[in-house]
Amino acid sequence: MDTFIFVLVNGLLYGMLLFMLSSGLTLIFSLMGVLNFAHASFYMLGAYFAYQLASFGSFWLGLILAPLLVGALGAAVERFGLRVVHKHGHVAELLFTFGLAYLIEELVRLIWGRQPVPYRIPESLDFTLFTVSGIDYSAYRAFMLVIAMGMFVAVLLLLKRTRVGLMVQAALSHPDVLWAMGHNVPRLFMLVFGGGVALAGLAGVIGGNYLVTEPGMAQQMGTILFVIVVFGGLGSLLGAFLASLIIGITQTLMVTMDATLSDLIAALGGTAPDATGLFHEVWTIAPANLAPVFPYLLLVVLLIVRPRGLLGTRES
Amino acid sequence: MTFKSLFATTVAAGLLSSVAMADTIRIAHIDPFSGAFSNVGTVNGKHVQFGADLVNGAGGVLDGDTLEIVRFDNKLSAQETVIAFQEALDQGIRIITQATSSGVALALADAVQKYNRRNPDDPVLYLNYGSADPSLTRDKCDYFMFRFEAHSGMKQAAATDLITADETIKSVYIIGQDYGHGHEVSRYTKDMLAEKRPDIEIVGDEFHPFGSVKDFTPYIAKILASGADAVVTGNFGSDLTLLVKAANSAGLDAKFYTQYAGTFGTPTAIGEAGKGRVYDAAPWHPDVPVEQGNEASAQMAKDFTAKYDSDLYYVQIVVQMQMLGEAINAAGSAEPAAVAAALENMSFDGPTGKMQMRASDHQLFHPLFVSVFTDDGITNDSEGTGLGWKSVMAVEGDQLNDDSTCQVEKP
Amino acid sequence: MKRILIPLACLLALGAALYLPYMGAGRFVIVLLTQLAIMMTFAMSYNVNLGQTGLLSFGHAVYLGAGVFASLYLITGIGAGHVPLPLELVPLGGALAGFVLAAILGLVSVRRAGVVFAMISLGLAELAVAGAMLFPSVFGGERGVSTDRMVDYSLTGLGYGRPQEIYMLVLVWAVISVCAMVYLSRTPLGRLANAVRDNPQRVEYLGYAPYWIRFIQFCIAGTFAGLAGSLFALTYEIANASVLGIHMSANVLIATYLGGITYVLGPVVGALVVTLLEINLSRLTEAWLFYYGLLFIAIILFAPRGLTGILMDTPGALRRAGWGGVTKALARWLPVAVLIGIGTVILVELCYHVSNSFDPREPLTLFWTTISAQSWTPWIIGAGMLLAGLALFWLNRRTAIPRQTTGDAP
Repeated sequence: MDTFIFVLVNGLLYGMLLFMLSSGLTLIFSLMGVLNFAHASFYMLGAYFAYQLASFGSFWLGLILAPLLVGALGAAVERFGLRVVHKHGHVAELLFTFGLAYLIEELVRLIWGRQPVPYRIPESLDFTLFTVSGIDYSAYRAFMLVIAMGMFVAVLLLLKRTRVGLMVQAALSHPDVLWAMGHNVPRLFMLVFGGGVALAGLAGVIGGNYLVTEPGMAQQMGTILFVIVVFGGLGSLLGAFLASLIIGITQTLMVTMDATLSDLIAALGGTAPDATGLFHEVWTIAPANLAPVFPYLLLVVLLIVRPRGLLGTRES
Repeated sequence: MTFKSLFATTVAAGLLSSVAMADTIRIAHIDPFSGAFSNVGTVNGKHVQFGADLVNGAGGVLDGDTLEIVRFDNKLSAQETVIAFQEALDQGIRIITQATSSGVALALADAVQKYNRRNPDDPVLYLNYGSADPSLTRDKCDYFMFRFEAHSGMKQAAATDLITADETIKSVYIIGQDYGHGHEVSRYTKDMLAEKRPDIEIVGDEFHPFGSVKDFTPYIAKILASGADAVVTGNFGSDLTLLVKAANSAGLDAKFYTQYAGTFGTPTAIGEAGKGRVYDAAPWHPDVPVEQGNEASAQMAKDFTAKYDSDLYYVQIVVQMQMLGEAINAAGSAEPAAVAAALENMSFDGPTGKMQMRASDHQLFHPLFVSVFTDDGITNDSEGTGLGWKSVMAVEGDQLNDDSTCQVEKP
Repeated sequence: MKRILIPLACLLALGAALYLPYMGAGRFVIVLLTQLAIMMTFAMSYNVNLGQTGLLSFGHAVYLGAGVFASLYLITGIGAGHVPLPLELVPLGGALAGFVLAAILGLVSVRRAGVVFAMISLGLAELAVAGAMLFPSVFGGERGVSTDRMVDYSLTGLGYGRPQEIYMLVLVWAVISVCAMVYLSRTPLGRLANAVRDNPQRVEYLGYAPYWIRFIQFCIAGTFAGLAGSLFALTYEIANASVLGIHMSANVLIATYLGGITYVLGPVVGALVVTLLEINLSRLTEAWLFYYGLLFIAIILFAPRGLTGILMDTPGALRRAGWGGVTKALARWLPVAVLIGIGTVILVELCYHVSNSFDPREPLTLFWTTISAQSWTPWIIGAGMLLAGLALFWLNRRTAIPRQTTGDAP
């Protein structure tokens, strides 16, 4: 039971990290119709910037400055790249971000090398917070959870209480009306894109040292973010939140399950089938093996049954 | 580029190579030299070049002929490897070396075997300097293929020797990537422990998805719950780093027995988290010459650092080039058939000790060092981390064995 | 004029391609050409989805993979004498495998176009790769499945051991497939698919079901992808689950888009250029990936209709501008292109030399001169050229704006 709770808390933490990435992506996607393939690359940039700043000064400097830098970069990408491609249609926009992800990865390799960089957890947070039945819980995890929660609340407040937030909300549900009312929509796009990738950058700052900071980290995060955004539904921040938690927790829980189909048959009183021939592995596959593909399975099934996603307001 | 110019360059290259054949022996080195894995190709390339330069510096082969390395970028793709192989053939090269990625190595071995079968008068020699997959010399051994580094099963033999000697270990947890390599490591570990220390209990045998787990904490929770004293893993890269980091942060203090912790940024990424608890089985680590008191190999490592500004690590690549040089001299010719015959049963006095090529499956047997990651009593650290490797056990080549019963067929 | 010229050029190219093995071309050129033929077929099949029907797929390699593995087993079966089929007809088996898989997966994926379809294709691709890795007994894990194409049963009596022979076979099948796809795009079905791409509601009013049109097109694309997979299997005789992967799917998407999705033969151009770049540029410089990415982004930004679009538009633009206009434009833009191009190349090569060469202290050869990355001079020259080029670009743009707003923009 203790292990179960421990795993559950971890799933929650992983889900929150996913949400930090997917919240920006879902705003960008809903508002601009662009599936930003480079979103995880900005997450990676956040980690590398923070590493660089941490080596100059302190971790806390990176925590504040790195997301701002990433956000500024994102705004520039929107202004000088996406806006130019916009008139060529969504496929072109998508491919632009695709190419961008590719270039950012090459650039990171050029600047910081191809091997992991030693981006470390700050010493002030590197201690064990509490121990539950032999499993340590580190302070940095708690810190990550606090940052993620704080970000969630901040984004909610921003959307509900500020003028820009209201405009974003309006654009989420009725983009055309906002155009018609004469608001500066391109600037709103730039803001949302910059803000969205800044959130990804923040996730990179606190995730980079918890995980590994290396050029492959963007690709590893990669497509799971799209799954969350599409699964959660277009235009729904709450949907993305729920989807992040569902995927974070199920993935973490699944790896602890290693009962196979033949175990199941044996438990039900039957005899396990002979494991030979083609496709004989089917009897020995456990949920733990399926954990990484489970989100995709969920996505395909959901899209077939309900194309607008979990809490989506519209289809495209 | 048009076909015509392409054609012209190819023909020109072919002509050039046939002219140059007189005094250089060309060896194709196929590896990823661009893209995400170009660091692997570059590091391997330095070692191959260094080995060739050593042979050339000692007077070359035959009557002063020199070895020349021609590099082909395969971008770690099996198809590009086959294309590069054809290009090397066009240029008149008949000796190929490669190892990165078992999938690519097997594709190349397959292509070379087919080529040799279809062109029995003009065979190609394939020198593998260190693929992990045991099947290369176990199920797919071939007369024209030689492997110069211990495969994962042999490394596991050395690691289990150390586990056997450690009386404090009563239970072992095996965790690995869910693909061929992870399964091989698991199988060898179970078989060998059952034979050497039947009292050790295997409390877990787990496979996790390859390269896509970000949080290893759930696995660590399972290991903690099992109460294992030692963890055995074939993981490499970020799968290994994340596993060790998660273990450290959750307070798991079992020992880790690995095969790939020694290089490519893994010491950097693991850092303090692995101090005193990560063990690695490898043919080399920076302190081997110090421990052996071997001036010659210390000088070799120093020369390598002076030349390339990085650490010597893949000593078996250098050994491969030296053995190739000796084989060419012994055969009196660089023709693949003659070289293969000379290599087949060759003994070699390598920089770390005695080495022996097994004639039946063309697998080289060489010393292995099982070492611990520590900052205590080391002379040369690893990747400038302040931490390095200290041998706990050295296993001589003739003490290693594996379960290969493969027998090459002479053409 | 154009109507005769283009088929004539195609025929000439085909004749040259068939004649090449007899001119003594080396193995490398032959294998390269074979790879080109495979990619051509694959890209054409991809465009049946993307260009003709407006279905953006991230998982087209799944159908290629179906063809690859089906053919590998088929060839082994023929070799063992279990299957009475001549080797030349193996691609039919691959096509069948691609068709069957596309028909099954198409039922669930083509109900919607756009993002929903794209995401389902992505999900299915990830599932297929993971599934293939879970069943090493069928897909061989990372070791792959291998076969030997030198079977005793062939129509022509050729052994197909030599690359030249297999190249002929692949080329014939590739040409047949490309022609078939061109023909299909001109049938009423092809036109309807275009209509579905542009305005599905309207097609529905006309009494056709967009779902079924998408489905048929999807199956056609899957069939030809499976055929391309078969050619792949015949050429390389070995494959592992990575052929199903996202890398392969992304590659065909890039090739098709670069070639130009609005042209029937655009994907052929794209496949030619991308494959040649991938294989030959990497032999010139290790920074090829970077240039490749830059080229890709530049084409998306400035030439949305792809390389074929540039090819098609250039003669018209030249005619409209006249000699005077061309020289004037060249005088304006050539310095910009040269400065930015050379400046970028210098900087990129220096960066790669420092970050990934065997020894950064060694000098590197660039533009027939030898420079040292340790000194500041080449860095300053490179940065200076790039900055000057960008400044000139900005200046040109500023002076060009009034002309554009009042000019005769088409």
